[in-house]
Amino acid sequence: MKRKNYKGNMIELLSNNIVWFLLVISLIVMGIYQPAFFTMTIIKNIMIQASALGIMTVGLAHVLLLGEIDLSIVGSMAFSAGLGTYLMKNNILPWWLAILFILIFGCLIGLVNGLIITKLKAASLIETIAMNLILMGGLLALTAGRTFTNFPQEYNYVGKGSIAGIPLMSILLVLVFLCIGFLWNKTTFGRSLFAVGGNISCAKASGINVDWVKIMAFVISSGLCALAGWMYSAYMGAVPASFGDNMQMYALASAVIGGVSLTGGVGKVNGVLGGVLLITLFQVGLNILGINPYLINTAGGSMIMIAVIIDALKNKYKANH
Amino acid sequence: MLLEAKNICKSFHTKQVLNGIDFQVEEGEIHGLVGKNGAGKSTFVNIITGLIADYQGEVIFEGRNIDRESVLHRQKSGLFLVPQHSSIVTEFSVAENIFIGVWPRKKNGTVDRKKMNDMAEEVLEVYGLHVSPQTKAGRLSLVEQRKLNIIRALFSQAKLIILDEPTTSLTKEERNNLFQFIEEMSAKGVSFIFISHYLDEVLKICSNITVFKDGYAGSISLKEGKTELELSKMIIGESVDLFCRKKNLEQPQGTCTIECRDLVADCVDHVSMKMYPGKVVGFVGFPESGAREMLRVLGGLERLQSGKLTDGSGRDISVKDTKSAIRHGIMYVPFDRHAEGLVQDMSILHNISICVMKDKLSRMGYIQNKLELENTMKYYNRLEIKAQNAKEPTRTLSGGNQQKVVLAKALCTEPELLLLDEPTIGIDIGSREEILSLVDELAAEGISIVYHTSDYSEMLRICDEICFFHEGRFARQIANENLTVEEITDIRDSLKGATDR
Repeated sequence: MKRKNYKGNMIELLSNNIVWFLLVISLIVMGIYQPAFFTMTIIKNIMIQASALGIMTVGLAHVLLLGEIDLSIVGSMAFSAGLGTYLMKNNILPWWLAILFILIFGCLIGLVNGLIITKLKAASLIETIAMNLILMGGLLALTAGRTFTNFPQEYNYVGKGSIAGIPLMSILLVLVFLCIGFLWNKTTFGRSLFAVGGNISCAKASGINVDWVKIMAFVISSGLCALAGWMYSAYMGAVPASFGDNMQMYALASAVIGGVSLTGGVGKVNGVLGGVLLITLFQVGLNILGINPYLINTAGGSMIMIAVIIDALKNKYKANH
Repeated sequence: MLLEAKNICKSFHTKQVLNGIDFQVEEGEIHGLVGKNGAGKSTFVNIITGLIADYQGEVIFEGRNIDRESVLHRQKSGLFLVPQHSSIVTEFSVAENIFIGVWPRKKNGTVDRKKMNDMAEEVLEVYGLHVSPQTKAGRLSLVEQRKLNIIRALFSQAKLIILDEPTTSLTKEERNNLFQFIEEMSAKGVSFIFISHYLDEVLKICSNITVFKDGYAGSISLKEGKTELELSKMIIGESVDLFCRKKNLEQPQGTCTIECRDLVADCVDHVSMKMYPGKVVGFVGFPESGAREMLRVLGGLERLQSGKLTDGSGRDISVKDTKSAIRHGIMYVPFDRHAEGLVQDMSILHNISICVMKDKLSRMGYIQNKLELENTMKYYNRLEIKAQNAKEPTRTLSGGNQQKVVLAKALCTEPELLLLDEPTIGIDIGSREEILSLVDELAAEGISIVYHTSDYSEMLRICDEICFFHEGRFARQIANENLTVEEITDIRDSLKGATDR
């Protein structure tokens, strides 16, 4: 009996932290094929790559927790950064105001999304697709297909600087996750988020302002995307017309693998972080392992598929026990 | 033997729900199934119909073992469940409903309406439901909809039809009408399993009865001539003491908790009434009569169109939503704890504190752990919620304990007016009695309570006064002095009869 309990606890521990186990296993497997994997440069590279994606994903997670979806995160990120850098390059705004502008503009996009979805009862799926098209189209018009470059050094500092050898991007990533962790676990807003996502009728009957929670979730989602946009554009030193390609799918996959339920109400901050690191590891790892570039999307997709299947099996196991 | 179940066992998690049930139905028999909520009736029925597939034991239908057959397969061989809530498509015509899924087709693949209507007319004639096949099913009366459900099953060559609580919200006349229909069908050789809470019905219509109690079942033949009292003793078991409240029948004095003047809302039509501290008032009425709707309007779940609410000292109370209702000390406890009562993935403690976390337990949005723990544990302990620990999600709790969490959450708001909508539905009898005695305690503490339930014997045990609602209007109020369940249903039916004529 005792033994069985012990086994049960192990399975419980494993299934609750499955993403971290997958991460460790993937690291070891990739390390066996390519020992260079464990050098500081590559680990640093993964950390930097993970930061923009991570901040977007944790923002998106707010919307997913409600059982809604935000497909405009790339648009929010790219257009905010594009418009901000455009104004900066044309000497309309100084670099620090441009950064502030990017962040505020991102929040405004979320506000519009949230208002249309709550007050007009639009479906978030289609509303955010439309918003994304508008924003990506806007970026294309703004850049006329070219790439914005030559930003002031101060603007780029966040992407290139480091403190005590640790990249500033990674420090920001950790800070954002700490803040969101606090928000989810210690505040009434976080509690409301889980309540609305878990059972919206119950949340309403319990006196929670459901619309406000939803609007805030969309604002946080788009706002954090804008932050990621600034960081990513500073890292690349450029905003191309195709800024943030594929990020939408990677962010969604990271969140789901990290244990955020698409039907809402379930998710943990450290799970999201694990999901982001795992997906980034796949991306970076496949490059380093020297996979044929024409096959890289397929290989990445397959790895995500495997992770999703393992996650689904875990949920199935949990439902039965 | 049409259906035979042998030694059926089923457990959920660690809880044994059915312990070796043996059960038999003969051809043309009407077999009653009675037992308290949570006794295992619905689990058993789900096993027979195939909704639950992993069980131990054998189900034999027409001499054939059907353990491995799916719901659809079992339906094809003639085993049907008519659920409590009618499952017809209200936007379809009667004929379309009868033929649902198997509509007769023309050669080009489109539905042959003429043929369908003709065939439907025949079927309706045979089974004695006198409506036009082209009527929209949604326009039929409740009893006609129930009959349509049964006819649909019969049309698919059902040999055994399971009726789950077919008489809720029917008047006496409609009920007799339905019974006659069932008896005619059974004379033609169709068997029925009849599930009901109303023992008089079961005794009247069934030839054999199986009583479920705590996962065990015993069959009795009615040829022995049981009385209702004997039957109810078998169902409840003699070990449980039924809680009985000392009624508070004095004329209310002093200030009221809340006064409603001319309230108008959906299904509520100019209702004026006063609630007094320490009084438990029962609301009686058919669905959409205003009884439940009044509770939901007061609790802020449905919009109030016009009318005025004032508190004891005459100050206006504006209830715009649940939040403002809670702030004014009005708390509604929903009838469906899964839909509106609980966030199942959240812990017990978080569920209890959900209504008050913003106003009472946090500073600038930051939840004060210690304060929250103090507040929630107080009610967690008072209601004696049984769980491994208070941080476990409510999903894993039994129905009775879940309901206690919902009540703890309501009490956490420290309400002055508590609106209880079916607070004992679907829970075990022990929890029910605990909840009833809690209601009594709360009334003694000076909380004003409104109680809505369709279990009138329970209502009679707990309420001081009974208010009848009909078509949105507050029709009648009587003190609960030596009332019987029959008197209540008679008054309720007479209100309906008065307007039907």
